[in-house]
Amino acid sequence: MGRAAAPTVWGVPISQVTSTDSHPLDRYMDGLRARENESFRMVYQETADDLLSFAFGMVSDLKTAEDIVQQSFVELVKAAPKIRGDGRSLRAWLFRSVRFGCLDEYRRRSRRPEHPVDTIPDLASDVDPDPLMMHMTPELETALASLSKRHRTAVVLRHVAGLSGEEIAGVLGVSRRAAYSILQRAEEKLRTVMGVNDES
Amino acid sequence: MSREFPQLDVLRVEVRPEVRERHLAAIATAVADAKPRRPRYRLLAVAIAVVFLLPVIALAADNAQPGDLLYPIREAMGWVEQDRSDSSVDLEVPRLADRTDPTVPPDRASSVPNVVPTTRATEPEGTVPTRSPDERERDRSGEKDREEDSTRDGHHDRPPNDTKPPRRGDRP
Repeated sequence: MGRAAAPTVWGVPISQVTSTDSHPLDRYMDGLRARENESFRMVYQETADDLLSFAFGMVSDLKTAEDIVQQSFVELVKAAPKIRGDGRSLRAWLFRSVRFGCLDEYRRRSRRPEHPVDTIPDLASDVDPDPLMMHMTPELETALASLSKRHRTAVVLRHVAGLSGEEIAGVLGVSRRAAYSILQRAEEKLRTVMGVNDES
Repeated sequence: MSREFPQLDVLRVEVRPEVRERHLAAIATAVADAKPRRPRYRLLAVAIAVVFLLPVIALAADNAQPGDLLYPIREAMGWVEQDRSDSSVDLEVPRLADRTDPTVPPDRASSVPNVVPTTRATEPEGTVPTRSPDERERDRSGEKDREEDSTRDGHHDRPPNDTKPPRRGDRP
């Protein structure tokens, strides 16, 4: 029995994953707490694409995702003076806010009564389909829908928004090890569903 | 972005320009609507000062001596007491006479001299309140009237009016 190897994430020891460098959002924190509009604009420019991709991956509807991102920034304006920490904390706060917005959307959809197909008017011929929705293939939609909400959140945060393991832990509100565990299980399930070759 | 799941790359989207403008407008509106917090604290501080600080200052000024920083405040408080004592004597004496002296007809109650010695709290001990000549004349005439009335009605057992206006040197 040899000595147990240190836990690694994608070949990198966990102890080296944590970064102590300054974050690009650090310079806007004071302006945010003072509720300066320019600081909010800059934070939006830096984070909006990542947030929108995350929300789109969660709810599979671009317009809903845009509304969720907008609502998150409005919430940020209200909560800005109370936000503690640096730019990393702010980025985690924003992703957490979008995640809660997506969970609210799930609840809303579950409460929404199902309409029989024959009662819905056929408007498909009058409205142009959303070009971005063309990219969401039924296979991908099915694969993401097969994951639990937490697993889907972890996968989208990692592989769509590009967050690190530590950032995912902050968004999910769990420890780093728990976040890695959730992510690994989610990836295994997604591989199974999508038939991705694990050899890579 | 993802080498392991290239299928997920299609979920990577960018904010469209019109949506970006809409979002920034909503943020600007939210910033404008956000209430500033500092004035609320300022108002609270002023309220605390009014409720707690002013009574404390008044209490501290109670024992101030001339030349002290708080002495003017004590003087101001003394003026308030002086005004209050003046008004209370003027109102109370006729009413007291009504209650204690049944020989005084009600319509004459107001002519009862104000002979209660009033030594004001702010005046140095040993001084007598000064009265104007008109007031003294009014007092004397009121005494004579009362004596005549009591003799006419046969009330000789009325206690002597020993509450003459005090003179200088009456008090130690």
